[in-house]
Amino acid sequence: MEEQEILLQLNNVFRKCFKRQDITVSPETSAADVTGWDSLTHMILINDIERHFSIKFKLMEIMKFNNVGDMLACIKKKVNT
Amino acid sequence: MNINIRQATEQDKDFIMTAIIEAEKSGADITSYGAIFSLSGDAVKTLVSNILDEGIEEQEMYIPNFLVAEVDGENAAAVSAWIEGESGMTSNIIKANMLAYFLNADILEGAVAKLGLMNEVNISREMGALQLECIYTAEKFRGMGLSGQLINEHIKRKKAEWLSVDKAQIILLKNNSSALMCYEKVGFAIVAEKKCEDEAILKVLPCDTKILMERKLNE
Repeated sequence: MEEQEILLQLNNVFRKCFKRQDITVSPETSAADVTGWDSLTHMILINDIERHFSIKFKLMEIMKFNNVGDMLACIKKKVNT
Repeated sequence: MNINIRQATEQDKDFIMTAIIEAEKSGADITSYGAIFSLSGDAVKTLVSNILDEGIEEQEMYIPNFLVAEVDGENAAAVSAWIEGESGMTSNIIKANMLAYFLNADILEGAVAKLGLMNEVNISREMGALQLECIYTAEKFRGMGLSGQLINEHIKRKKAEWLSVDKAQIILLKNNSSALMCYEKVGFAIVAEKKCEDEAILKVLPCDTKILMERKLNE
């Protein structure tokens, strides 16, 4: 799957998780940029992403997610292997 | 009576687990983890054990972050401490990562409403401030001032290691009056509180209000 396609799908996961249609994330987006991205939504978001892409992150992978780009790279690696 | 304060090691894991779980209960019958995620006592123990085994720093459930007080060679009290956001990630997000990893999606989905209530009493920790958590003394050693000694020792050690740290913070439930008095004795004062107006919070926590206590370290 190409990065653009993953980002497109990731945006849909974010919109569903945050229950807001106006959210658009880019690789540079971090928690500080999205209103409501707190520890609660973060926990749900990680699970929603795993479920949507049928993947399971390792703890150490999650711990390195500093922004959407980090998520994107990890998802890309998992869905393409 | 000989009191020895030392850093916790892997051999202290059982005692540290007890400290985390008992401190988390804050006088209630079950932990908030148990109440929020509908986990049995054994499941909470497994969760805490798994988290400790991962060895993730910058949050309370990391064995090397604990100091243990021994009384005549017996583990009597423990306190965890860390500098908030040392690597840029808050301890709340670190814990959320661990819970997302260890709890399955169904458990998390079932907990959304309760987590929403918890968010209402959530008090943010200040980045760069020393955080003290899981402050626990075994019942037969209470009243000896061990928690205060451990807190002061943590502050001394962190000040030596982190010259710029100028504040220590403790977050606790407002109904925990004995702990509150203990922290006041070692120089902490209440600086903020947050209340959840929805009484459903009392199904998750033994009290509807959390308080933030602080002690300035550069005075």
